[in-house]
Amino acid sequence: VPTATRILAAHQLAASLREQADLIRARAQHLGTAGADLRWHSSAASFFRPSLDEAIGRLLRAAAVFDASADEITALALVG
Amino acid sequence: MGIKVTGGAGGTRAFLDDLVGMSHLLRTAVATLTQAEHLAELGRLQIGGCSGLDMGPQNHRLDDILAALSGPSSVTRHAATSADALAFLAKFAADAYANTDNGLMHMFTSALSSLPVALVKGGGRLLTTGNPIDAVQQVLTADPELVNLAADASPLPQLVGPASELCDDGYPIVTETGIDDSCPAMTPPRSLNDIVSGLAERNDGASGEISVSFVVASDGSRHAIVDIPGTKSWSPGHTSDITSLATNLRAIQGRPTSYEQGVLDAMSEAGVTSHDDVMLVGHSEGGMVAVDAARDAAVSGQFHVSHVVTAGAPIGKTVGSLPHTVQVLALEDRGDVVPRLDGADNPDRPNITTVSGGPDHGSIGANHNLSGSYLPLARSVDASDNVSVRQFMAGAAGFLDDESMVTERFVITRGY
Repeated sequence: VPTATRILAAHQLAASLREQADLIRARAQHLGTAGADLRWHSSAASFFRPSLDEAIGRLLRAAAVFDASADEITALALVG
Repeated sequence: MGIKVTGGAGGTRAFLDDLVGMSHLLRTAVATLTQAEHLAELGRLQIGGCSGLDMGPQNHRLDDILAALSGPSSVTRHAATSADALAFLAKFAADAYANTDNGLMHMFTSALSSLPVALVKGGGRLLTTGNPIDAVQQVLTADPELVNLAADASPLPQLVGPASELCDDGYPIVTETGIDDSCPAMTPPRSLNDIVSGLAERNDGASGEISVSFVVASDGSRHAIVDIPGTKSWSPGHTSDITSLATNLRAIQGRPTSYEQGVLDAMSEAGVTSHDDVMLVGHSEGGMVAVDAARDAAVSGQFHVSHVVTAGAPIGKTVGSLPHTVQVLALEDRGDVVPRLDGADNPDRPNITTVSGGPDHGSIGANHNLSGSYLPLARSVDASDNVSVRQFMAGAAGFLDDESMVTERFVITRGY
């Protein structure tokens, strides 16, 4: 595979992964904003709030891994 | 004085709406994660192929990277599983809450839990006064949920429709009786207590007397407050008194009445337009008329009723028909049987806040009285930090922070 083709393909994949990371982060942000505005019953809040925070945390971690993977794939294409 | 608040921004329905909304948001996040996972999986399939993703000796590393994004133990799948489970749980909890909250069992439990104390109080009243009517009043006012149950179990609701046909409601005649230049009618309200005081002042007037007040802020913006008193005549026959039984029998079913039309006509005559925010304030029958008028004004677009305050009004079966843009605060003295005559609790909606409390005077009349029961309750509401109450009051701020007020009086009579 010519180097230029390989680098282009890797860049395209990396760009797609970063796009997904942005989308996931946007979902997390939306959940965070909506969560802050929610009219919780105190009894339910003690369960749902930490669970929602945990779910948002996982989304943000997933987004970060997508970004890191995109960086690594770009780097691999250059040395490969 | 303790109050009990249901509905409104802090009510169960608002909470359930939020749980369902959260569930939808989480499901959207799951869909995004699934899409991202598919993209990574597609990348793995392209490795070493003709699409250019062939990095020779680095292909294993590339596969590892993408596998971490798309496998069953990937960070993506973990996030999706967790969000999906929480979405399911939120929806399940919302459904479970709704089912228990709507149960008739709640009403039975509530009524029966107060019954022993009510009977003891009634027995005590019988012993001290020897008057069985007084004793029955004491039982009913000590456990007003009994009236809900009685209304539900009796054929009364079925009789209201035919009975209303027998009472001719005629047509409204609206007479403007001038500007009220008394001090209370010229002092802009600052609190719910002031709002209910204004209604009590109007209630002291003639039969069929209502008022339309314009409160004007320093920037010139204005709001309209309409006070609608309750029944002054229980006559079932032809009478010029617009507050008579014919109005009650129709309004409790949510049917248009001549009283309601008279109120709308008076608002128009006073100069209220569809650009003015309007608060309708009604006691007892006046509260029913206020709810019906708010609904019909929303349908016709003639007026923009943004707020309704009722005191001692049986609106359980009609208030749910209001659009969510109309904020309702229903005051119900805990010993007042009148708001329970329709046999229905007010629905728990984000725009409908019901506050019960106030003293039990042991008499149906006293518990229904504006000055004796509803003014103290209004003061308790003013002092409350309940979320639903505060949200309603914040939304009504435009009616409570003005510089001047002009009140015009009207008398509505019935013609045939």
